[in-house]
Amino acid sequence: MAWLVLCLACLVPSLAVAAPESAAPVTASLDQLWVLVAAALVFLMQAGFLALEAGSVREKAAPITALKNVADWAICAATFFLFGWALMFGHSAGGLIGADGFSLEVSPAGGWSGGLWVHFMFQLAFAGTAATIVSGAMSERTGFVAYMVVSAVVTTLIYPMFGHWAWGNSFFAGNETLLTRIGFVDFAGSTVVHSVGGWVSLVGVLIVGPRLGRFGPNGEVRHMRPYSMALSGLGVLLLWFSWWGFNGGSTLALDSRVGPIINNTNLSATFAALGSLLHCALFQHKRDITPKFLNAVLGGLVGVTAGCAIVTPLGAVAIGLTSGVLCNLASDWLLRMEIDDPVGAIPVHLFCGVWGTLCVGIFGQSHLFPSGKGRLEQIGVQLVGVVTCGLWTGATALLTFLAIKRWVGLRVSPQEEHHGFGIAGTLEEPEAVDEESLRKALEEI
Amino acid sequence: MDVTVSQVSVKKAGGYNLLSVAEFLAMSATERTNLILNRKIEFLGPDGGVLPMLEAVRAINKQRASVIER
Repeated sequence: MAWLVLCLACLVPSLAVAAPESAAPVTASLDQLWVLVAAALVFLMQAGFLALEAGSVREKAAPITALKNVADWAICAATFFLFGWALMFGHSAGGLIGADGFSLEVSPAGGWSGGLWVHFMFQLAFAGTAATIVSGAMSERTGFVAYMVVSAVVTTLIYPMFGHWAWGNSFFAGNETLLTRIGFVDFAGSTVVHSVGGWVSLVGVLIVGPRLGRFGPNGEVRHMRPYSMALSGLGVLLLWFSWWGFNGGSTLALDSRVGPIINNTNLSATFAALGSLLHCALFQHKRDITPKFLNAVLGGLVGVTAGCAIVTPLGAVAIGLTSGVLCNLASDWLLRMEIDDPVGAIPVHLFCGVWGTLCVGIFGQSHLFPSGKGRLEQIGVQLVGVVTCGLWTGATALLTFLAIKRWVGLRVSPQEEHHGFGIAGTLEEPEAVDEESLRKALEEI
Repeated sequence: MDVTVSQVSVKKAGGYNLLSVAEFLAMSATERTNLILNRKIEFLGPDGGVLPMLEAVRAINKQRASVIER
């Protein structure tokens, strides 16, 4: 709060200059300040994800998991600047792809507003969120190079393309795109940001496989002790706080919507946590209750992200309760399917992202649907958006992972996985083997 | 004690891939032999531990024979 007051104090001179002329520059400055504050909050999510993921993996993998979170931000900041921003928000070519603004080379004549730089920082933070979701799901066994390639593909192509389809009209009136034309609503990114990260995560963990020894020969789940639930708890609280900027800042203006949006965001997380706790205690024999409780908070936040601007407080409560329970059910289902997601990224970002997007139609106030559709029709539109995201993201992620597997290699060595590893990997001595005996054994192969 | 190979880790240009025993046995004999002689492969037991190379090669031969029998 003190920081916000300080920022406002810094703005006073510009207010004083602007006031006699017109209120418009003041409003524009306040809007930009709010978006900048929100961008800072969304950037803080990187720290939240780092703490959450480093705390959720085994101790030996905590350092590299933390490093990957820092590195993917660097990759994202570079690729989104060079390509991602333009592909996502540039003037649309056929409603499919942005065609200008590469490397932020823009001119006012092209219609770009003066607030471009502030909006770029805000959107960059969003792109970083989509990318970093994947690091947790694939942690402990994915190679550093492979992960960096995936991050680059997500922020250069996968996220910006789908983002263009859903949000391509954010800066230019009439810049209608594939999903904006049909009235798809995803206010702050349940699908655009979180499901994209979730789909990439799901495809990634299926291709890379589980951590060594995670499942027994008959599918039994072997417990792998998380490094620090306290660190994970800190991560969740950082994310919870940052989400006020994630959703509240998505107004792109400091107006009367901000308060209700932040309130809805907070309510959904609260009731998701409580719903998950009760559900796990009553129906799941308290199995993994601590990580489920922490992930449910995030599930509630993801769930309300699409509809936070058009649901009532009670609608946000409903989204939170259902998202929390969905998180629990999805966590157990993944284990039954022998899908290893050490941090629970898939239940949180994919399952709750999809559910939250559908909840726009289910719990949203229909008079606030921007396209004026009825409730059932809006649910159908939301479903189209969800499926489009799944098909695009799933297919591109699949091709990316298969290419990496073919030419680079997805995993670290078994020794590195057992003992932990760094960015440069570890030096390994090949096992000394009696060559003659080995050749003899090989003759039988 | 009997050794059982559950998975195979294969070194690639910038990392490793994990294969099932069936995927490994589906490779040509020449490719498998080259991987082993060039130390680009490691055999893993049911708990994910790395198995001694010689024992693992003998074990996988037995496993292959039983697969063919079946």
